[in-house]
Amino acid sequence: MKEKKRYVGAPVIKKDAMALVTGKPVYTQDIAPKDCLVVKVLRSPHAHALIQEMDISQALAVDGIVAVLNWMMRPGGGLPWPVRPIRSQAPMTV
Amino acid sequence: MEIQFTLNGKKVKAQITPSTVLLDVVREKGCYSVKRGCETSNCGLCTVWLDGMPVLSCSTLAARVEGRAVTTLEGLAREAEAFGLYLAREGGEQCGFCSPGLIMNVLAMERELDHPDPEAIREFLAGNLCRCTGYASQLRAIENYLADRCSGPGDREEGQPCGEQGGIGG
Repeated sequence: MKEKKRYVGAPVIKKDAMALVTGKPVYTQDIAPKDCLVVKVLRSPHAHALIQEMDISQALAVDGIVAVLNWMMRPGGGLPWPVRPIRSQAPMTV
Repeated sequence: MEIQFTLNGKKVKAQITPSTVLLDVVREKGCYSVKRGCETSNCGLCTVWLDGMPVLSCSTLAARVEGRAVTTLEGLAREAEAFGLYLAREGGEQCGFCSPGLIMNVLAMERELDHPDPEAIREFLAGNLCRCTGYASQLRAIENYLADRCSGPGDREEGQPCGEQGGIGG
């Protein structure tokens, strides 16, 4: 007689299945606080371009903008990612 | 402006503007089963029942639910669990993001259609997109669920098709 396996050939219910199918708040959009700030990443439209300076004054003037962050504001300054850590500089932060 | 309506059997009030959509109101009231998908009435993720009829809450103005009854998956918890188990057994929930909207429509279909064949099921649920493309497993789960419901020992009590808090029309 063929032995009935507990796992092989038998359906396995995912650990999070019941939370998903009953609509529990498990996704980022469900658990993000209502008043949290929204981060938007702006990428260069030019591949392999060298960014020499960045004028953020117009962006900051837009109503509701709290901050514009770029590599120049990193502690210790230096180059943006990806670079190899340089000993003489402050630790890299992302 | 202020509206009053019944949400899963409870009377609630909400402050809205004329352009507020129902999706935002029910999520604000803590019904996180109602997912924000396409927001253009294409995906079915935000399906809720309005007086027992499935509607897309992303495209229903909140002002239109004044005095009416809205049901979300939270109000059908027992049924969601019962059918959800069938879905989970087939691996049909996958990422789970489309499941609540799908389940709202499956439960509405169960009330509306008598012994639907696979073609009728597909047609009824044509508005529920699944980006994991779990359609085949969803269909198996629905067929198994309906077959078990018809043949006796189901997960729910006799004569209580809506669960205790459920209820079409609140």
